Amino acid sequence: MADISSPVRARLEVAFADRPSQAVPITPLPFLVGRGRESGNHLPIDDMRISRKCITIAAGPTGFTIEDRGQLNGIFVNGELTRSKSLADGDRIRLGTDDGCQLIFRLQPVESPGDTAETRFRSLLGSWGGSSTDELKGLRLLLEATQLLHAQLPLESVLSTMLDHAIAITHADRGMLLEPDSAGVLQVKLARGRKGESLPTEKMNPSRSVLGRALELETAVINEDLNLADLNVQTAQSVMLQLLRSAVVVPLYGVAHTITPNTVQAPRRLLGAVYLDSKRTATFSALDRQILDALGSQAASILDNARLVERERERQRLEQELSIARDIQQALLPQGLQDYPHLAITGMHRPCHEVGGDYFDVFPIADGRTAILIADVAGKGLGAALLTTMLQGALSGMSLGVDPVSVFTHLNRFLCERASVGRYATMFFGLLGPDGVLEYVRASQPPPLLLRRGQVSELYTGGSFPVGLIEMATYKADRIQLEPDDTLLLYSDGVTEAQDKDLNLFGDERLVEALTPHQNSSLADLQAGILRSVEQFADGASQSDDITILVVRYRRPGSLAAEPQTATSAPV
Amino acid sequence: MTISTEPMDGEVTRVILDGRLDIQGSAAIDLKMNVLAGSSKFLLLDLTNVSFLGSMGLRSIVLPAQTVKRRGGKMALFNPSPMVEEVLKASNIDEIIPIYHDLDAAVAALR
Repeated sequence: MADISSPVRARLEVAFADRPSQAVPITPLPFLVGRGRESGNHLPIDDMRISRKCITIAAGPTGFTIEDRGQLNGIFVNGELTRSKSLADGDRIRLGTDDGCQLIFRLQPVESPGDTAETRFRSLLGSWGGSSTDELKGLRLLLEATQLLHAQLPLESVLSTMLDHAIAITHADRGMLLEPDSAGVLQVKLARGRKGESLPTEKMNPSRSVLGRALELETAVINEDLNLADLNVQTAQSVMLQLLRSAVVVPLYGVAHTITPNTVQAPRRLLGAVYLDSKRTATFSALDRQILDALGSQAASILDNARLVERERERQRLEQELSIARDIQQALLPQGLQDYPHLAITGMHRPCHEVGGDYFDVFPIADGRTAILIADVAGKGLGAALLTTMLQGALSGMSLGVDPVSVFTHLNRFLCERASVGRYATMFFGLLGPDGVLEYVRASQPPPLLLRRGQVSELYTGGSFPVGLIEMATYKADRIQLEPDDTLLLYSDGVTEAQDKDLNLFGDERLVEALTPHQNSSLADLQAGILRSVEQFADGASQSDDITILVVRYRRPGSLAAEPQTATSAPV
Repeated sequence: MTISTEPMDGEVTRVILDGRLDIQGSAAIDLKMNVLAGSSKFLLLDLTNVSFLGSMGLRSIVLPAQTVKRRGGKMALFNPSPMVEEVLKASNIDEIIPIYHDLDAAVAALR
């Protein structure tokens, strides 16, 4: 810990809520902090919540001390209200009761060329002799073996094995693997005893100041005979409770995975740290620095690879889940669309992501009619796809014979009551009987196009409420008489809103043009023709929305002499 | 997509939307719209510069309108382009949120 007899530099990290933190050297001493410069502050902080005379940091007999100079509501060190206190590395100082700004005290030993961390350690280590190479070789072999294993073994057992080796090599009592949490604070992930037993991680209490020092120096740190006088109260308590006398911390750094040209010494990526401690003094004094370096780099590479493997597995798992979702969605579409005696049918669904928010369905109703429907859930992707599945379940229940208006009303209420679902749907639901009467209910779905004797018209004009957006929405059923060979094109707005590279929309008119020549085409040719028009228009621009098409052609069963009927439909 | 507000006489807040109200556009304005709906009496939603209205965008307009209505206020839509107006009418939205092309008429209807 801070050894005041050797040259020590300290700094304050000023952490703001709204901008990057800033490091300020604590010099000269005593060092004054407060609002503005009037009171001789060395660190002026421009924040109305900070008093003009706030704190002083001075050199005391045991290191740096902090003193409250009259901050409103007092000062807090590591969360405790404090008048005056000696500071330890990493102490968090809050001024007043607001979270406006926080100071972190940092100790930093001066490193001159003749007194590097390395030589300081060498003086601690003493002689190891010829056996160090043997130990080193043994360590490398063991660690390389675990590295080979880790592709097959669960991550935890690989890391445990690594820790066990580290304990054996260093003769420690316990070993811990720490990893940074989301806030970047190192947390104990795994702890092992010297007999290879797992220890409860929540009961581990590694010395934060030793950890802090290793991270600051970016190298292994050996701490013999933890000096209680130098520790802050909290850490000292943990040290005394556990009777720990010595500790080794090896910080683990990963290599950068992204290689950019002209990389200017990218900051090293901290993966975690190995922390080893012992109740005996001088346990680690004979350790060779080479051993620790080897331990650090091997452990880092194991951890790094293990994390990569884990991420890759997670990615594969998500991809697999999505592909299952896609398979299920495609399987829920009517399979092998069969013509009914009174109608020919074809349809397709092409999501713009793995899964889509559109779907179509065709199913027979108990009364002999056939249900044809298309639905489009707002939004795209998995969220929308989940809702289409729900809609399909609800609507398919109508094969047992339920009034479609009641079902739409029910679905609307169901979704409005669950507004946090955050989705609604547009739908068209039609019931086509052998007599050519099409009864339909619409919910804001673009009107299907009716191709009759080479002329295209919209099945209806005017608006209707979607399902699941407006609680008071009402729906009504309409009817139209179809003539034999009348062809209905149901489509989702992904067709008319297909975009070219300049973001122009395909639009209603192009769709009408694409449909018009197909009075005598087979339905498969008709569908292919429309898709081709859309693709030619998009000219390679990526599909921006799900595309669903359902084509239905009415034919009067068993009767060639069909009576011409007049249908009411809006001209285009 | 940008959203800005402008206070007008008689507790009317004019909300000016600018850009494409697609999935990204609606995500960008949802929070602000909810805050406005929870704090304003009369909202005049200026759609002059909205070039596209998608299904999620429709939701971003309707839900705040319902919130305002529940709180005893009103919302009106001002000056949508023909394409945007078509989308609004296809969903019967004009039945629950009136559409105006004349600013004075819109403000008068709100107050």
